[in-house]
Amino acid sequence: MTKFVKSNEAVVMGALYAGCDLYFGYPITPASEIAHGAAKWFPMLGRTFVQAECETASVNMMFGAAGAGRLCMTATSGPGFSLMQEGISYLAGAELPAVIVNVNRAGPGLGNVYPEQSDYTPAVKGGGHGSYQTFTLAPASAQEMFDLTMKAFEMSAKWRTPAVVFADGLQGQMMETVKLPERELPRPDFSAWAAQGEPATRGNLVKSIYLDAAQQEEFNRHLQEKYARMAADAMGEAYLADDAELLIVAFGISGRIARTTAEELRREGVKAGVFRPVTLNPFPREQLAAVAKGRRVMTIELDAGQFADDVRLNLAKAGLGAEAASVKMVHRMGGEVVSVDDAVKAAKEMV
Amino acid sequence: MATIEQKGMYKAFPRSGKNVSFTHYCPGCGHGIINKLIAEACAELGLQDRTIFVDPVGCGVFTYYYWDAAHISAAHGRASAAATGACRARPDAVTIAYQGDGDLGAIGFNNAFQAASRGERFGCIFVNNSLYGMTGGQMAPTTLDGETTTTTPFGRDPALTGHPLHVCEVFAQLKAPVYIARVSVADTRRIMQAKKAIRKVFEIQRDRKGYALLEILAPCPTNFKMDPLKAASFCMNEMEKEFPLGVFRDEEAREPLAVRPVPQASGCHDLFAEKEAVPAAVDDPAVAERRFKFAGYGGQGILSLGLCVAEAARLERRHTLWFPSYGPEQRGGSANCSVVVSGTPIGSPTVDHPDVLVCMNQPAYERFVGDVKRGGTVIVDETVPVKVAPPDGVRLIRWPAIKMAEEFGVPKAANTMMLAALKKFKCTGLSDGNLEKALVASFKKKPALGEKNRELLRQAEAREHS
Amino acid sequence: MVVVDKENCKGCGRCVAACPKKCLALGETLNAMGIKSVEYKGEGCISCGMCFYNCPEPYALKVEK
Repeated sequence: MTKFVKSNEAVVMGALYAGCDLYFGYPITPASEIAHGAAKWFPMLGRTFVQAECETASVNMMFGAAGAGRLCMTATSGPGFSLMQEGISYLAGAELPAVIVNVNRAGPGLGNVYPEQSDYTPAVKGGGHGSYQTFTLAPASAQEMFDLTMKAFEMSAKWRTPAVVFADGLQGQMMETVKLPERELPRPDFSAWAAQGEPATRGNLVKSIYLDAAQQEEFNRHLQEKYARMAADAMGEAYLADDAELLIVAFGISGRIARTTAEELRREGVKAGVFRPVTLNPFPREQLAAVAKGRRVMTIELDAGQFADDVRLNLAKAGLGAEAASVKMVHRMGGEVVSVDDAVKAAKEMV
Repeated sequence: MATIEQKGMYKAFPRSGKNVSFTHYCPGCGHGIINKLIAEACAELGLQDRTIFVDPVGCGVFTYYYWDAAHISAAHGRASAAATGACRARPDAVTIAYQGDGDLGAIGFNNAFQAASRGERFGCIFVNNSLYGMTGGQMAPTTLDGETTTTTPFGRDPALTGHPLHVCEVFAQLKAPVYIARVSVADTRRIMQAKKAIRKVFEIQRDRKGYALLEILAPCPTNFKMDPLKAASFCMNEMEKEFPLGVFRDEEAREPLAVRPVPQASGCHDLFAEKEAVPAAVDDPAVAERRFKFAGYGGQGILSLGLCVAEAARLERRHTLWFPSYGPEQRGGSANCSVVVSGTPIGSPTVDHPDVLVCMNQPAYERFVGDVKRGGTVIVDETVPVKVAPPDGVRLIRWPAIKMAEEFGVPKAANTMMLAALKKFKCTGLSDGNLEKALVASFKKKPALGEKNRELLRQAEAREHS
Repeated sequence: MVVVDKENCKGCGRCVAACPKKCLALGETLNAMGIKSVEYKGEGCISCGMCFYNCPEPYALKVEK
């Protein structure tokens, strides 16, 4: 069954189908429709919506709800996402599942409400303290805002680490058709570790402190080993890449622009293809290497090059030093969006 | 009579990493006395299975070594926020937050205050020992005037740091809290009073009555730099001058507010799937992509005109995308929206070169006309003076949308008049039937108005165009 | 009658001050931690339990009836 919905609303629908029981959030443009949808639909399903006094409160309310064994979420934009970094580190340090949706807007500081992808570093590499990782997904359509929010809950519960749905302001406003699944996901059972106020969980303790250095290191080794295994769930999508001489690498809304750019370039005789990471952490390194080998690589992004650097890093780590060095970036900032014309022009200069 | 001994605590404390059964608290520490009373109340009321303790960061951070119940160890200052999450997640649990005067009085004050204002169903036990204990005796908001601490080496000077914060009195301004009291553990009589108050906090949570705050004055010999007995008398004599003991609110008997019922759905399928189902898009590579831009002044129905074309496209099972320019532009200023319709999945959503541009005012026309693709069409309201010619190969249609709407006596239907032009001049590539169906559907709350607009659409389309 | 576990006492003296019968005192012998812990003088205890409630430690002493 399909519906025509605003992407921001698709996020809430995805969360509800995934079994999310609590929403904690603070209003911020351009994530408003997520809060509006949640404020209406969570209570209609007998679930909980709480408008918090600030984003620091939201993320710590999630710490309590996740610590008590329930799936929960928040949605925010850059400024709020910054306020949540400490809390996200605590969620990772206590190995708690929780979903944070970041609808990136132009920054730094107050910036404006138009789209950017400039929160890349905190969203993908972790902006809080300590060596932790979130499972970060990058939707590029209303359908993916639905599917990847569901996936975020699944991955967050599977790997017991916070998941970030990394969208942008433009995408949030887009209305597209969304196909809904037949059934909701069953609620996961966290009673092995959660503090649920029931006899079976009386001995459970949710914490991130290890006073003894040796224990803290052992815990860190456990985390790093977990993150290594998490790589198996990396996802990426190739388009027109089989015979491509130029590979455009882009995620989220830039991934959509890359698609039209590649189609336009092919019409003008340039064999261009696209690789779109769907998860940004774990980064789909092998899938990228497979389509990037021996080709020139161009990125399209709405930031100052944070994504391009990560593409270079991952190509180099995959042993593709020359390709890593060839990476060129086409980018806009401030809420401006890379136009297909600009991308086509830049691509031609590279080929 | 039974033996008087500790109840509600583990017999030994392996979580401390040491094989001991004494606590980490300093000799004579008020936390130690309070920890025992809390464990005792929890056990005596038979609530250990139901209780979720939310532990702070401060001297109370290691309560999970001791209390035999479930624990969530929150970030510094965030126990009240975490407790909010826990009690909302587990409404049947007895949630107790334990915080110090740095944790709650300073960094966590807004979280605690707002949780109290919301009437969150947890008990907050707040230990006031007039300074930061764990981090080495710094000033807290509750430090007394003139009191020496490691960050008020010359004694607290109100001219620089303000006055001690009276948390109970401040929280008593809030409507929601059921119980607010201040007690002390400075001497035997006070300890017995604190024991009853702590028990009451648990009972209020057991009976799901609402939010309770209990402030407990406690001696901190180490950072007072006094022996335990002098510290206890400082707590009793000096601290109580500033922080009088007493009950600021006791409405335990009050019935908690009932949540007002809202419409309920049985599940996601019932909530989302039933209504407004829409046929899925069907790939048809023969149908080329067509990009629309609708622009004008906020309130002219620009966004709904775009939605109408998008709805028609979906009825025709095309891949469809709609998005508005948003943000400050939207607030009564210039408004525009883009629609992309295609036989195959849509790439970029941004409409840099529209195939069809519809403008309702001059700024919109002049801002976008130069981008229209060769072979495209611009429909502009007749009232707009055309000072800028469209690019070569672009058809310009001046259409009396605003005038006709006024003539028909429905000024708001100017956007329907524009839809008529799109139909009349075959700009959408969509069937007349679907365009009409989409128009009527957009008035689903006012079917009569939908029919009226359908009528106006037909009349406008029939109008001769010079 | 008060029963003291010397190893869990930190010698703070709150119980000594609180005992209405003054039948507790800090002893001279050191416990494993090197603390002069409390001792029962041997008589006078009325099992009121005030020592237990004044004590910051859960297992330093208890009062048997």
